[in-house]
Parts: sequence; structure tokens; C-alpha cells
Amino acid sequence: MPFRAGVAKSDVAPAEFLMRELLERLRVPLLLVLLATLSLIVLASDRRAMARRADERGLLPGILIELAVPVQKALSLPAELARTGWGRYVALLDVRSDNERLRARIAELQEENLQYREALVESGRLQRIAEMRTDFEAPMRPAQVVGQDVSPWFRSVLVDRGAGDGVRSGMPVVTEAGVVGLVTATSPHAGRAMLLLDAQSAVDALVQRSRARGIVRGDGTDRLSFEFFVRGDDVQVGDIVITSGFGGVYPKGLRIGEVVEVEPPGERLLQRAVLRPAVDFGRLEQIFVMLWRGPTLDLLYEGFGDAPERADAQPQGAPGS
Amino acid sequence: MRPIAVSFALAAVASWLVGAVSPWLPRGGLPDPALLFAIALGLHLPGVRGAIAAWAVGWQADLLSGSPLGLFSFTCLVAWVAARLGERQLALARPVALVPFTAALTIAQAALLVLLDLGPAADDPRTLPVLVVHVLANAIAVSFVSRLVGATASGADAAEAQRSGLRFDAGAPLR
Repeated sequence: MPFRAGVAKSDVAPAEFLMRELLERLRVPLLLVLLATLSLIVLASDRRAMARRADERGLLPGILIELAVPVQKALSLPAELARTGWGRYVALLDVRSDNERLRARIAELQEENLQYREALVESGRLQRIAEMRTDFEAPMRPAQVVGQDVSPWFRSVLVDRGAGDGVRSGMPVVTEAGVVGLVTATSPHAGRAMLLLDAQSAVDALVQRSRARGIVRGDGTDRLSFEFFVRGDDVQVGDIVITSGFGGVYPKGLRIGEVVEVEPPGERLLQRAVLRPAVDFGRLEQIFVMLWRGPTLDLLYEGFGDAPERADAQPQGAPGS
Repeated sequence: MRPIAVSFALAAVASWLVGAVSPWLPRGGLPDPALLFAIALGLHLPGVRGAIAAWAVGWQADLLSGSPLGLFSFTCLVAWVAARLGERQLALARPVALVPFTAALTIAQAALLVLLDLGPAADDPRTLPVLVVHVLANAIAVSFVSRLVGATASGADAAEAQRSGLRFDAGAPLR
């Protein structure tokens, strides 16, 4: 026994030394494995969420997105101050001439408006249009774009409204010019919206003039691709393309863009046109989140316990359904 | 902690600048700050601190991008490891080696996104021009970012800076 104890005692120090040396050598590789595993776990869970389109962020990603908004706001503050300051200074220089021009324009528009009203009343359509307007109205939440996508491969924006403001994934984002995209992720006070330009975006659409139907896709560039179903469909340069409402994602009648090129059909089954988006995506600042979610997405999200409050989010005669 | 914090802050400022300027330049015409900082950190900041800094810079890119979370933190970590491994074998301190190395990593990152069915579409003819412009932008900017990170990391703990960051071989005798 004393002999064994002696052997064990003499072995302890080298073993400890060996272990310490091994840990020292493996410290960085072990850390790398740990960090890479963590990234891949988050990536896999995020991809799963994207696939089923039910990605209200989990705790950790939610916190990270929450932190991004104040950071982005703080980072963009100097540029914003310089831009608005300069803009106000320049605006002051032209304010008198602008006032005169705008007064004249208001008078013109009032006259024009009066004529339109008269025409509509006479044709008996005013009431119908008023009803349609009620049908199409959904509560809107104004939001500020606080961050653009830094990767050339993704087209999204970070906005300063989140679940705490009633914003949910799957809600359309618009400006006065037309469709911007779709909310794809939210945290309590922030949200991320995928733009129409993103390669993963697809919207069921139709040509306003000829009612030719198809799908508008983003391809990562500043133009949109409109693939219409019937090769002989009447699609011409200058046509306005609007949301059809059939996809159950966007309300019907929102402006998407204008046809700038119709590609020859060639051998393809679907004919393709190129659209100039109605929204200037390079100058996005103020956007509006429609507090409404289409029936398709609503069905999906309700399955995940993410039903928006009905009174707010599902106006009567839900558009697009 | 200082080099990590400074790298993160520099990458944040770079990302903000890219986000602010991007509407006025052609798509892909601006460098990818996260990738470049990860490569530069691989050259100048070895060890645990370098790995954590590269991972943090990747997380920041994840936050500021529409990518799924975790994507850029993973690719930045891979870029850091590649830069550590290539530092001696490819002598990446020389721009003549660093520029093609960065171009290769940029293409590899785009290829990964194509494989994951995210972002670029391989069959879209417009993807290639964006990629070419992006590769050029990264290749032009990498030397500047490397010098910037090098200057930042020079104040780091000398012992940590001199220690080899990655030693996958166990060939050296322990005693």
C-alpha cells in the first residue's frame, strides 16, 4: 500500500500539468467549437422560423434586435441632424417662392377636386367609392426606418415599432406611394421588414389596366420581376401593377410598380416583365405598418398562438380576402 | 477586453457608414465590414480575444441585416479561423496575398448563401455583376481595414499578441 500510494503521489503532478497544458492548447479550438455551435443553433432555429413564417423572435434574438434600434438611432443621429439642418437651411432660401407656387397649386387642385366631386356625384358612384374606401381602410402605425441592410444579398429595413405597438409578423408595410414589404420579425419595440426587392419576396399581383395576373418577385436588385401566367396576356410598358389580394398576404389594390420592360416570351412557360417599384427604396424614412394580416398568414400565425387583436387587425370586409 | 470593444465599435461605425451610403452606390459596391474586420482580426488579434471579437462583429452584422440570425456570426468565425491559418502559410500580411484571399472568402460566403437558398440566386444573370463589384469593393478595402485593426490591436497585451492563436497540431513535446 505505501508503495502504491507513493506511485500515485508522484503521478499527480505530471497529470495535472498535462491536463493544464492540454486545456491551454485546446482553449481556442474549444472556444471556436462552442461559438460556432451557438451560431449554428441560432441559425437553424431562425431558419426554421422563417420557413414556417412564424418568427416572433425568441428571447436572445429579441433582445439583440431591441438593442439594435437605439444603437442605430444613435449612430444615425449626426447624419440625420446634418441632413435635416441643411435641408431646413436650403428650404428657407426658397420658402417665399414655394409659398406662392403652392398657393396657386392649391387653388388649381381645389377647382379640380370640385369638378371630380361633381362628376362622381352625377354618376352615382360616390357612395360606392366611399364604401370601398371604408372596406380598404385598416389602422396604420407610422414607423421610422432606423437601419438599412448592410449586406448586398439581403433587402430589409429595421423599424422602430414592434409587438408593443401592435405590429406582428406578416403585416404589410406601405408608404403613400405603394407597397414596401412585409414585417418578418418583431421584438417588443422593434421590427424588421423584408422589402419587396428581397430575393425571398413574392407577391400575387395584377395589371390594373388589363387585369393580367401574375407574381411579382424581388431579385435582390432595384427592379422587380413580374411573371404573368398566360403568355398572351396584355401587358405593356407603362402599365401599373397592383396587389391582387389573392395571395392572402397583401390587401387588394396596393400599388407595386410600373412596367418598364416586357421581355420576349422565348421558350419560357411564364412571360416576364420588369417593374420599376412605386416606392423609392433608396430613400425610405417614414413607413406605415398596416395593422392587418391577410387570411393566409393569419391562419398560419394563429396556429402558433400569435393572433393579433381582432378589433385592431381585422377590419370589417377584410381587403384581399 | 479593449481590442474586442474597439473592434466592435469600429465595425459598428463601418456598418452604419455602409448603410448610410449604400442607397447612392450600385448594389454590392460597398465592402462587407463584418467580413473584412473578421479577416483583419484573424491577422492581428489571435487567441480567445480574437475569436470572440470576430464572433461579436458577426453578430452585429446579423442584427443589421435581414439575414437569419447566426449566419454572419458563423461566417465571420470561419473567416477568422481561415485568416489565422493562412496568416503564416500564405503570408497574408502582404497585400498581394491578402487581396486574393479576401476575394476568395467573399466568393465563398456568397456560395454559402446560394447553398442555403438565401439572398443571391445562382441562376440570375444579375447576381454575377453584384458579386464581382462586391469582391472588388472588399479587395480594395481590406488593406485599409487590416491596418486599422492592426493599429487598434497593437495596444493589446503583448503576451497575448505573441502567442499563437491556433495550435491544432499536438506535435510539440509537452515537457
